[in-house]
Amino acid sequence: MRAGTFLTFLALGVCAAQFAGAQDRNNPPQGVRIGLNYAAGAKPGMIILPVERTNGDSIGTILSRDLDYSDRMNVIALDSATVKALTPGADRKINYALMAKFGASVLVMGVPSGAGVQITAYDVSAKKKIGSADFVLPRGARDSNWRFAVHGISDEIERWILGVRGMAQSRIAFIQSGAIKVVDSDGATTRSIRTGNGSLSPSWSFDGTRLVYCVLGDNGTQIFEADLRTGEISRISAVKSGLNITPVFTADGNAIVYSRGANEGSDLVMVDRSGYAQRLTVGNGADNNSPSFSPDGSQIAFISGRSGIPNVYIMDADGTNMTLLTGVDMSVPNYRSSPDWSPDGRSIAYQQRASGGFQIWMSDVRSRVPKQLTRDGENEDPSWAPDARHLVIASTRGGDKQLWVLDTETGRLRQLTHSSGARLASWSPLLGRHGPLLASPAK
Amino acid sequence: MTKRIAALFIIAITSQACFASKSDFDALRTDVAASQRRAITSDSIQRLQIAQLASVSRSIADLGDSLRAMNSRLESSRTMTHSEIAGIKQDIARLQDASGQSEERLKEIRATLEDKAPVVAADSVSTAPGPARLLQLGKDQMTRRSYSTGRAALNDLMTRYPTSDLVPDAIFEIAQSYRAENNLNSADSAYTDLALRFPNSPRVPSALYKRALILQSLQRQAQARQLFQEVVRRFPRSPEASLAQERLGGAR
Repeated sequence: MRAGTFLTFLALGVCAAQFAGAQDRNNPPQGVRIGLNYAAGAKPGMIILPVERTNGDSIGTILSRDLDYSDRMNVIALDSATVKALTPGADRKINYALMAKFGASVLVMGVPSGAGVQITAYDVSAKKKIGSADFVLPRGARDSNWRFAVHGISDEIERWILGVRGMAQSRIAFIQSGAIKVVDSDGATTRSIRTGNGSLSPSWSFDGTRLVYCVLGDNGTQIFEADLRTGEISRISAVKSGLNITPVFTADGNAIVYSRGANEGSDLVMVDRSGYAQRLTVGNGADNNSPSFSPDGSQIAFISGRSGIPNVYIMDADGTNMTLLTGVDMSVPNYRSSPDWSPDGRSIAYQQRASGGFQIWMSDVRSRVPKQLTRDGENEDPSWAPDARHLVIASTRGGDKQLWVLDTETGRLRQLTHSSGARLASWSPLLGRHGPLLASPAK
Repeated sequence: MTKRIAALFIIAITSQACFASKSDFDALRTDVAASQRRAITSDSIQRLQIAQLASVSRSIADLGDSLRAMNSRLESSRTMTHSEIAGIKQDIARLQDASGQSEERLKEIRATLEDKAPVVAADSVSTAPGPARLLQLGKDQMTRRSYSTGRAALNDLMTRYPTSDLVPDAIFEIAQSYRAENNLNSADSAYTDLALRFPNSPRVPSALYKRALILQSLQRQAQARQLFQEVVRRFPRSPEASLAQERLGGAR
């Protein structure tokens, strides 16, 4: 009897174990559910088929590049024979099984429409549409405005799949040979802004319609503003002659904060449209510069040399409540500079000198834990992309100083510019809301 | 017969023992695994706390070194040059920075310790987080712009731990959250509350200065001016006093 009971329990136990195993197989690990299922941390595979009747730097090529550069998707490269095999025939029937064999979770297809192109994304495993829309493209030549519109499609595809827009439809302003230049996020279409020689420290307004920068001249440095909608360039007349550097717009765009030099040291000053200027730091002879606003505009990260060695500090936008972000180590004094607050508000990137050269670091705003991001060559001037994941930096890793884009999560780097001397980069916010801009001020 | 009964009894006992020992063994194995996990978790928390304490100790040692250095400089103050005075200013600033960071670290350690050994709340039956943890939760919510949730945590701190030394910080953060929401009257009330209830808190110069800015934006210039003057009079060495002085000079 007892042996029978034992065997019964044993059999029940085996059945239960098998049932549990079956349940495990039926319930794969939970991922994030937005557009499609994928495990947390995994990059979903994606096949982008060429859009019919597009030549040269085609829509499919630009989309593939943008989505690859997002570092959130694994764009699967296919040879032409495979592409032909995967392209639906006249019946428009998609071979989902074959797509899955190539590792695709997402398929993107496009067909020309009256005004531009109709793009559709499919979930390969669920065999259903994730999103579809008609996108208007500028007619005529495939110029920078056309490319700008295609970048917007990439960002929308990313939103269908991941729930947040990508960062392809943004631009990077930088200094080269004393002039301000602007390049697309994928490194294409570099253009100059008519700002004159001696320009330094360009910085975008929060809405992406204006640039503020300083120009080195006979009377020291003056601060200028370029309106990218009209092409108008104007000097901020409230800023007096002398040393005036590292200007940034406030979050509402109604004032600028910059570093004003005095006989000894420099202080951050806020000047509004009416010309009223108010000092924000009390440097007591120390240098205070390189302000960067938090995304909500309530705080400023900046550099202060008040303790003898430049460090990154945070204060309220009214100049009170100042705290040190980067750690104090009396035995190893580290020179830090060029802070930039991430668009999600969580991190501040900066450069730190170690062993004679600068490297890029970032620090979590809450925990204040620092993380070194670069080690090869000299790396300077970090500026966050609108996705709060990528940084543009000036680096000598390829020989001469160039701009590179760094993925802070994987460490992947790609070269953005290919002519030497590029530096002091500033990444714009997403620009889609205001159209391509730069139409008139660029030359 | 007796031997057969005894043998059967032994077999029965043995089989029961075997049957029982399997489930017992499973339970025991689960218990051992759980206690190993607890031990590992406990060890890692202890290691974290030790590391944090070591870090704070280093900071305090650095502070001591700076104080000694300042002391020796002050002893030779009769022959001080301009650069030496600047050096002392830098030492003071470094000291302030280091003490500020140590204070933040100590708050974090307090929050971690509170998780391990709950603090007795005013209602004495509560199992709520301790004051340092509540302050941290509130500030985290503010960082995520969940201002009302953050205020709920900070109000909880003040209700449960009315005598905590973190109450002035909680009031200040509540005022900051109202300011961020552009609820200027509520922000003004909270800054006022802080200045009245805790006149010796290091937060008071900032609170008064921020009140003055709020009043200025509400076009109550005379009251704003009084507050700027109060900052200059009561806290002449604070950075807020310098800023207030300029506001008084260039008041619009």
